[in-house]
Amino acid sequence: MPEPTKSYVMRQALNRLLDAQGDRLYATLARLTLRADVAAELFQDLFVRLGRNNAFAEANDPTAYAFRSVINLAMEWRRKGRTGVKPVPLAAAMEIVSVEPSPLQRLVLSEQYERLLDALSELGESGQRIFVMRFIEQQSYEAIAREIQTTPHRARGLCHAAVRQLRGKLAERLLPGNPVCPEENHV
Amino acid sequence: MSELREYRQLLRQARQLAHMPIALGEMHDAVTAVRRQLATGDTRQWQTQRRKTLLIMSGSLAAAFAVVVALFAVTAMLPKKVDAAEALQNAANATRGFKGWVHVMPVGQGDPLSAIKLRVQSIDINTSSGDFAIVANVYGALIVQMYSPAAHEMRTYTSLSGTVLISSVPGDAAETRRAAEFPFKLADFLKRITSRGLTAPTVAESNDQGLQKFNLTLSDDSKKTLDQYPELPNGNATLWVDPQSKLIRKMTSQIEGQPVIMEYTYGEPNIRDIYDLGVPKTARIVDNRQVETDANRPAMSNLPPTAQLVKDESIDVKAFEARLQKRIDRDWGDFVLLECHKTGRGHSEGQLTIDARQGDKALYAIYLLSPELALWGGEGFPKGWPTPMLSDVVSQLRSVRPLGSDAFDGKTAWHGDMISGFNIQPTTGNSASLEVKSAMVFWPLLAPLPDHFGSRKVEILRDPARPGLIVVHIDETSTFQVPDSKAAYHSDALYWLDPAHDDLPVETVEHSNARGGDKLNFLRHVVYLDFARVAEGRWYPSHWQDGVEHWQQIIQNENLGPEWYGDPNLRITDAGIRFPTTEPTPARR
Repeated sequence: MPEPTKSYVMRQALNRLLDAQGDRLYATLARLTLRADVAAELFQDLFVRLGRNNAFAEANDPTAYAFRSVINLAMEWRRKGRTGVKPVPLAAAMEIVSVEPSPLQRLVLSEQYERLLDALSELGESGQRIFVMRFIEQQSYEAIAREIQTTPHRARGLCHAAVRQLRGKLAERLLPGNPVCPEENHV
Repeated sequence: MSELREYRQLLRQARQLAHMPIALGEMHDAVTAVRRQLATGDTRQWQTQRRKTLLIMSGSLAAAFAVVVALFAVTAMLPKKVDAAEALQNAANATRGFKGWVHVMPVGQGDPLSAIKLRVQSIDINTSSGDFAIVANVYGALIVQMYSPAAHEMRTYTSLSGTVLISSVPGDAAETRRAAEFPFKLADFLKRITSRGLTAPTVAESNDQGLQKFNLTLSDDSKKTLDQYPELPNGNATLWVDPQSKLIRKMTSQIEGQPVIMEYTYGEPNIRDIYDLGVPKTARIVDNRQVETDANRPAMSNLPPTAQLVKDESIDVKAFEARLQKRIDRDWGDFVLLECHKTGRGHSEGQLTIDARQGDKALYAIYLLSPELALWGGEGFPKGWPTPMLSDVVSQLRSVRPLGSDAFDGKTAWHGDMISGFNIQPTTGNSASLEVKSAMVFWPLLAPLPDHFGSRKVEILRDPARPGLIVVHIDETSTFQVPDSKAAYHSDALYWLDPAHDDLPVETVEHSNARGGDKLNFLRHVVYLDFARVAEGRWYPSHWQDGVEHWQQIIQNENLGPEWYGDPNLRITDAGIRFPTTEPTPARR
């Protein structure tokens, strides 16, 4: 029996990933971009990139590898200022942002999420990964520890550090250029 | 402790995001598209739809360019457009130059039956003194606000409570104010476009019932200015100008995202005070201003001296770390946590947070107390503020709409806020528990970071000025980068911990480079002023300052009723709000 080609093996791996994790991967992209159309496009990009990268097929945990790639793709899109994308059409954003609030409420929610995610995109890759795993995917410290190969105790510390980093970035966004003095604690 | 409030806000947003419903149809389409792609052959040959689109677009660019050039050539030959632009510029200059009272009436606000929305009736602006007043309906009741910059004084009246509240904040109608004031900024707006070398907007002029009507359309590059001028959300506006006075009389605008037309009249009547706007003179006055003196100057205003700190080798860092971690990990059982926050400089604002757990049930809820609750007819600060009894909090806030809330009754989770309402969350997890847990961590984390995430150096110091305390010095550098800087995140923090109070912090001073750059110029200073014990004997911080003043109670031997952990919609009655039966209209003097 002839040995399967590399392309065949890769396609099988991608099909398995799509069957088992496709919904979750797309949902994470939708939540990190707040745009159904962008999520669909990045979802396609994800499989293109994975298909071109032997590291995916050779990874000990291909699912974890795919989720790392999802976070990188979404954050890369945010960092690049959402190039090639028109300003967020409210109607498109609404569909994935909320159940049934009014347009104004949707806009407020959308703005809050945008602010949070933009700040997240400024964290390093490790911080983004930890934050998304814990707070967006709501994984346990034990699961995070397994994925980043550390102890649950340390995973908790890392989550704490990621949140602190994020808090600093949000504070900077909200209070740009304010003088620092003892009277102006940033709470 | 100051971190906790931010953590809560941040984690709440992340949790909302985690629970954000996904459109199943979109998801199915995306998965199907990739599945189809996977079936088409070699993975290395795939192109994304975006790249295909770019290829198609590049083929059309030459044709599109030719069309643009032709359009430019045609439009450049239209002299009327230049005249209209000049006429609009003249009107903008004349309007900017007007000094005195301007009265603005929004016309055509949609959704008149919405009870919760702000419906603006009139706006009065004094272009000389800067005085600003707004008359509106909120919850169907009359609300009048008047701000005087010279007196640094804001007066707010609502017919819900029949109260005039005096404070020093400039008010929260900033968006409406900006929209109303746009005609006075139009000249600057047009000048900014010119000075930035952007394409001039298209201006078309016509006559409309004796007024000059101008349709203003921004070019694509001019829309870059809209970050400073959000009053033109779509990059276009219509203005009507009095041909004699050259003053702008009407303009399309928006309030709370809804399109309206603002009508402007100039001069009389002069607005002397809030009573000229229909507020009854019998209204109760509540003066909420506070004057800061040396006596009430916050303790956290002064940083502690640190030069006298010396290294203490007598305490084993690892053992101490384990001791603190044990305190962090220890379960608090069933409890209710009440945290009162007092903010505001020169005035008094208050909020109250409830965190609670009972078995597998959990609750987080935050309430705006003052000035908001007072203005809506509630009692403002609860009896016993800032350390109210749980029974008083329950009786006063049980039916009140919280600013935000997460509740979990062991099976179902509800999440929501004052505006959006409270909805069932599609979750099987305890959505409030994370919030509750984060509220109970009072100690610094000393555990070392894994090598690839950075380093955390911990040393124990002794403060001769406060010999009973253990001083922990944490110098932390993580691999997370600070924005706009290649420098790693760096913080240098000192914690004065009190062994007599379960090692709780007495004071925290943290410098970091959270604002970017290498300098540790971001300060966080917290002073803990008092501690209390829970029923089982453990200590917790009960009063602290970090720019906001906090009072906290952790109550273990009482609990909330089951209705607090269930559907908030069944509990909230808005009973504290006295809705008028008819929509009030102000009677101007």
